[in-house]
Amino acid sequence: MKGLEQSFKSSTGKVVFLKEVLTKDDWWELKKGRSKVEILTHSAIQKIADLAGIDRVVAYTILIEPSYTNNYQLSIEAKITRNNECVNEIGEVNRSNLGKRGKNNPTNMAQKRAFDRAVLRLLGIEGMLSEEELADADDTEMDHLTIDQQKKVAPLLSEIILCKSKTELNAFSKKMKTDKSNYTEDEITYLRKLWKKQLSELTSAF
Amino acid sequence: MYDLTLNRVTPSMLATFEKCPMSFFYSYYLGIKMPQQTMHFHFGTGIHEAIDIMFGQHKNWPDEKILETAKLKFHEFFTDTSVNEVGIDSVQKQREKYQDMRRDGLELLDAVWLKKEWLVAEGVLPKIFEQPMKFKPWHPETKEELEVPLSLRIDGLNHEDRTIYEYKTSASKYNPEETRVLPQTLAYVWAIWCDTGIVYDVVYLILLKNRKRERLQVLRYQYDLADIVEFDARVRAILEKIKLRDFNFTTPCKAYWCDCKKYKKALDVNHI
Repeated sequence: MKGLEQSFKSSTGKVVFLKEVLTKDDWWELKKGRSKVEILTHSAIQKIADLAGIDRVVAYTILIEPSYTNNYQLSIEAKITRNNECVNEIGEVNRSNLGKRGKNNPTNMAQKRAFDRAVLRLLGIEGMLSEEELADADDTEMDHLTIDQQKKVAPLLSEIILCKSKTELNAFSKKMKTDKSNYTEDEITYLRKLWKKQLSELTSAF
Repeated sequence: MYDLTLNRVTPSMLATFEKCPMSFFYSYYLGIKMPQQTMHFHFGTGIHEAIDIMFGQHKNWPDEKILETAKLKFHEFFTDTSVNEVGIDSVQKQREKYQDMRRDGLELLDAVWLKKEWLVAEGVLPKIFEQPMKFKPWHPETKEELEVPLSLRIDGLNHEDRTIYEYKTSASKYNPEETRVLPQTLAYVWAIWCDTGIVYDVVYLILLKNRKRERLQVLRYQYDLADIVEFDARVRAILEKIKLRDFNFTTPCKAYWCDCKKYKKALDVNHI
């Protein structure tokens, strides 16, 4: 069983499939190359924990406090219990694994990470990630290009965004095949992704 | 420090930067174009043009033909071709919206016509309309020019009364304190001061949409050289930030209605 096909036992002992309880706002797909990972939001994991009858009172312990000597590492242990079962997991944040999202509330982020990991482990849910694990989920990926690169490709971005039909997108793609050599690999990769996104939006629109 | 890479600044650019540097980055620095409905834009232009006609022919008041001509002008700009197919709303919905706005626009023009004498008494009597300006303004004391031209268009001017006019159509009343320090207001004062050597007053005529009563709001402001000096510093600080590519990337904008969210969403390739 993979992804949303996985199940867990609810507090009443009934087998509950993730796909039955999660709505479209509870998860999304992160595509990395050819593989996909389902990302669960923190509120989705809380929902699952409540359904599974996991105690709402969770024991948190701060294991490592941040300081300038440890890259501002903050580690929190979450201990969760359900009936006689007990699981502990660690959530950690530091300057390298915390994006813009959690920069202002690192303790909260570490606590969420610890809780989410513990819940997934206790219920045996595999191959899925909590949204809190992603350092920069808010990044547009355009952020990976330098400002100068962004400026260089900006007219092309407008062209893609303003395409109203597949024909226009195909014309753009044709043009890019000849202009490709003027752009770096990173720029082309981003343009390709945006083009694909626009294509999928136009395809699903009717 | 990088180059400015802008060939001009406009009051709208300055206002956008002050509200949300990220939004400025996407819309003006990168120049990314987004699909947008033009209905509100055409509505505003139509109202502007109609009011220009009303005040432009004030010597022939109260000839009712002036109102009719003004309404025809409004229709000329705000046609049902404003209903476009961008896809934010359905065409049917846009048509209904267009009809509502058209009716409201005509009512607004009636309200201005009905209160025209009152408006003159409040100091609203523009004589020159749609004045474009583009030049490098300078500091009142040091005479140091801005490194890029300031480009703007003034809705109305009256050199005898030394007043600059700005028309706005809005759903809600303007806050007098906030309006006084808007980059747009001060940019006009600065531009006219550079042109004439005199600090003009600014009068805002705000036409309030979708209301039964109180359809007009008039705000009058007086400025002095200190305001211009202060604004000069504000503009130069913005230009410095642009040169440093300081667009607040690390502090996300908290306003959920801000345009930066639309740009981010459109350019985000993670969530498909």
